[in-house]
Amino acid sequence: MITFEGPQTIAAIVLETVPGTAGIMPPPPGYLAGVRELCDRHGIVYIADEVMAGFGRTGRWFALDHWGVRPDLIAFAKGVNSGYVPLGGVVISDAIAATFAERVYPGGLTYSGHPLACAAAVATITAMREEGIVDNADRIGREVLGPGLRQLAERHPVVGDVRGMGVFWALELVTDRATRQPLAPYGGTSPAMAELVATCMANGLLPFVNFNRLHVVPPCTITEEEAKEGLAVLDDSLGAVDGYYTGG
Amino acid sequence: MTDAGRTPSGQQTYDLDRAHVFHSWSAQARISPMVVERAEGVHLWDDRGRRYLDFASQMVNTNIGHQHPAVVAAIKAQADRLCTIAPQHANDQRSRAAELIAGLAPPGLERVFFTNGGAEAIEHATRMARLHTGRPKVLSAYRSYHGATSTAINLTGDPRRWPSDSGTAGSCTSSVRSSTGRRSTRAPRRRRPSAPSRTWSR
Repeated sequence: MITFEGPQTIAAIVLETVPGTAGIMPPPPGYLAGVRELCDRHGIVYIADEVMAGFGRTGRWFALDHWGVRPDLIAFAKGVNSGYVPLGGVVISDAIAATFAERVYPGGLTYSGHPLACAAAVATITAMREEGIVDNADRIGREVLGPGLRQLAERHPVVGDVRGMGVFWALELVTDRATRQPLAPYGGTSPAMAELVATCMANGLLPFVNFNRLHVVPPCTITEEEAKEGLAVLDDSLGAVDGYYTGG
Repeated sequence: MTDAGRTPSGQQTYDLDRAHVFHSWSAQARISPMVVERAEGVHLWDDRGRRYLDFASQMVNTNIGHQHPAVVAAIKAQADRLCTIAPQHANDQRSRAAELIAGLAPPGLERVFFTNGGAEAIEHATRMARLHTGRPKVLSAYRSYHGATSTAINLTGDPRRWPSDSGTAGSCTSSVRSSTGRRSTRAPRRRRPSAPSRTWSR
């Protein structure tokens, strides 16, 4: 596609390192290295969107760290200070920064680098480091959420797929595993998904759902006990929608 | 709507919300927002005193949990010292935050441009890339989300783009989006279901 479009017309490739709300799909090994190679070959800027995946969510500071790739620009927000005060930003490579060494960068914001937001970021990163919060997210993913969610898939046929890492997981809910017919249409919802949400809420769990997917995305600080408590609620709540399964 | 389970202050919060607050991504008449009274760690409490385990981290942002005491203390201390300062000045917290964030990124990414959130980060990353290369187009993926501002939503590869899909105006392509409509239709690239397909935007 790059060849067809004309590499000299393409400024950037922008990718979530692990796509988030759209489905939590960790890339296969070598995928991001391939993106890096394509960008290098054609002089294209590689923009890594780490807004949702960054700052511990995948069990690493940046999700990029899992695959050892170096983008040219990293977009971040959310976990940088957990949103206590709004903050986002772009980490800039030396080469791109050099472009704007003697040339004005034509952009800005009144609140760029707001001191309350930056103070929150400093405290957040420091506390996450001192308290081993990123390692906790990694361990919870490997030892508790990953195995626990796969067990839910064994118990509930509506769980068609389990994907994720750290505290960043998605359950793909289906009415038929063979056809992968989703429990709600792409871009929409369904009585089954509404029932799932209502049951979670009634059982004291605030879920994250998108179309036919249930995302399991608790704070990186969650303990094993709290994660297991949540898994038990999900077990009950998935039981409430098992009846929608029509597959064999 | 009145609700016997609510506290009077919770009821007032709810009523004022429904009268005056316009909510994101919502049909305004179809929503019934939960009134949140407080939150701590991985839990939050509604105005009926019910506790919820936050398996959403709000909008997948409270990575450190709610009300972390060190972060709350830092915000309070900074509020006492200096609540705001224009971006052209140097500020100790901004300098330190930039150093810490650059330190977490791979070597060779040493500078930070701060925004108010993720969508603006994508807006500026895209702008930097276009100015750096002198090229117009940006490649993004189906099944992605990059934010709700004009450029970011047009880079987004999910249904949230569709109502604001000005980036595709006039075009008719099967796997390629453009704002010019000059490009021809071509077949979608086949990919594994779990891997993102590619789309174009500019």
